[in-house]
Amino acid sequence: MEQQQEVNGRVITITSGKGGVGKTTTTANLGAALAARGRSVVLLDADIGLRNLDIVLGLENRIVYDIVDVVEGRCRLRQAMIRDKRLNNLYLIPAAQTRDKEAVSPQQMRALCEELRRQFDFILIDSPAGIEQGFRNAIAGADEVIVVTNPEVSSVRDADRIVGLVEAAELPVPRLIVNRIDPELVRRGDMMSVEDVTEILSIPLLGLVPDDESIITATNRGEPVALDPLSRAGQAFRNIAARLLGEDVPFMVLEAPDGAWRRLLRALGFGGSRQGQAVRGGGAG
Amino acid sequence: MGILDSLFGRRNAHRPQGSAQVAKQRLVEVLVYDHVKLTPDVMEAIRDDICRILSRHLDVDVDRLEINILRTERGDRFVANVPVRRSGTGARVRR
Repeated sequence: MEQQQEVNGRVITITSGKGGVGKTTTTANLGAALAARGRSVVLLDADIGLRNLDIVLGLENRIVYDIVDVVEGRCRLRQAMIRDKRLNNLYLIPAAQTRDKEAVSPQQMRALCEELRRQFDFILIDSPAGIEQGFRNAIAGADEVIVVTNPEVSSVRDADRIVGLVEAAELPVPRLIVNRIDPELVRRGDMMSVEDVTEILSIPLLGLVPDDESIITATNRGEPVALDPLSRAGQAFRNIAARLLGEDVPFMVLEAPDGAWRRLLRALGFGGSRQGQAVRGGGAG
Repeated sequence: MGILDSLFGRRNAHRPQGSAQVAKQRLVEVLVYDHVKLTPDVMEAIRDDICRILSRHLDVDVDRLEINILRTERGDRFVANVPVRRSGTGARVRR
């Protein structure tokens, strides 16, 4: 590592309960956005047996050692750290692909986090789905937890369960990211709004991310969308990273794509205000 | 925008509410039960007990007895709706 002096980094676990809501994408993009802001960041893939964070970052060909090699002493910590291709202050510690979640204990995770926080400003842990041992390991060394959910019934229900477990673990109240919002569906009343979701979960909103094709194309290429200046989702992740740095960034207002009728109505002076309101979440700030 | 709405928004007129409201309502209900940790079995047992006790004193319409846990601003609330028959007439009393 470049920096020799010790820092006291923040350990943040990104989790969700339900699988497939965007934990790994969120972890990769917050890491990239924080690193782009000049912070030193290490991403820890705690989804042992289902390694994915390396793919999202496009680093899958560089893996030699993994997290289980570190805790079992087969390599030194820095040997398992893969430096990102684009950002020289972003590192990844990959999960093991051929082991299971019992390969690491909560004590080992805590020790690893303590070691990492002396070297990095941010340690972001990508939690596995579920509420079992893998999840418990992922929050064992955390200072803060971010819960990712989608605006649909089962992922919000699982998020609620996670909130309860995080509180039972005596960690601070987690903050919420609502991912994959489709503004057009929200406008039609066929998708819960960010407001609906935050009201139900009653935890602080950290950010909202629109459903965006650019996430798919960026993931296909192994490039974090947060580094794409033109992407709305990328902007959303950059906003969240800024909030993690303590900045007061207003929540993104998601506009549904205008249909011909709606444009006409608006031109005639009707119905200009409704759509922004329907999608916007829990107040500004 | 009433007139224009009825002209262009006719498709929605058949649906009293969007599916998002349905989703929200279902979520609120399921979370109440998740929080209170009541299984349908336990709810059924509570229902039976209520029927048994009230039936000692009242002519309870057992089939229409409803119990629910509702989420309110002041916390979760157990609510029972117990229809009773007027003695002798067999007519049902509305709530």
